[in-house]
Amino acid sequence: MYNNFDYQNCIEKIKSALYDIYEHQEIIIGEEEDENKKGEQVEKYIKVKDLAVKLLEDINNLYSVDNVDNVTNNEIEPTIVQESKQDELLKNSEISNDTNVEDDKEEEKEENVDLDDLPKFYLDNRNGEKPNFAYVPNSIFTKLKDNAILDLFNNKFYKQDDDKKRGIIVREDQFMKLSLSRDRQEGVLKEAKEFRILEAKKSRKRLQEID
Amino acid sequence: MSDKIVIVNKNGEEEEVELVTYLNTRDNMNQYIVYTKNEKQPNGDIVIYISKLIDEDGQKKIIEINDEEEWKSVQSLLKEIANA
Repeated sequence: MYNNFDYQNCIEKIKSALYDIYEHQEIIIGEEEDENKKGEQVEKYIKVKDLAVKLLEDINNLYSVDNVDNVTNNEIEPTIVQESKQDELLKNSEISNDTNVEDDKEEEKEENVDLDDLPKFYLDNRNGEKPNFAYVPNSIFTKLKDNAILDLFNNKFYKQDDDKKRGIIVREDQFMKLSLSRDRQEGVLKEAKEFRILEAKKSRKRLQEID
Repeated sequence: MSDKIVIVNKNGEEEEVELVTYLNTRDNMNQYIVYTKNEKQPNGDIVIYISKLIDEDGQKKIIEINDEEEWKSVQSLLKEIANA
């Protein structure tokens, strides 16, 4: 019975539906003007994501009766993969070419917004010229600060040593949880960016009305 | 959901990998990036790599984790997320 039923296909369909929900929620959060309501929506969103991860893991456990691999008791197997041994251990794999880098240069022009009562979160020191920052409400500032969110738009990391990379082998469901933890942090960062854009538009509108 | 990042070695050679997530120690003193080259085991398990992030002069730099105690600490951080 386990051999014939394609539970993985079911999981993929669930994931696809969940991603649609996540995308829509991020739009809703971005459009919410009330700070408190925005924060509440983010909390609910995170809760749904956590439940989704649990659901997918439970489904995997339900069907993975033959999954007697090197990971036991739900723990990460601390297998160290040194770079030089990769070819022996691993299949050929293709890196996805699916990239989607947002260009926020247009929005940078809207930095001149007078919002002195809101904290500034510095995203990066863009090209060493001037800082790229976002005005954010206190609730989002706290989340960003606590999570020490990295700037996602400058994607180069400079390796300072010649030491070999250290790796760990994880199960697919564990990998997904790790990915979602980053997605959760990015959701907050994206929210901050959308807030900044909206505030800039409001300010520009007010200036136009004065003129 | 995933993003590409580029790791530049000391020779200037660039390698594109996929960022998985970030890790922060509880005291926020140390930060790490977790990335993958999408290398999969025959049973579907995936290899991830973890490097320590250093922020110097606004440039993001990484070093490998050689201290065993630190490596255990990082694994503990990963487990908190991956086994939740």
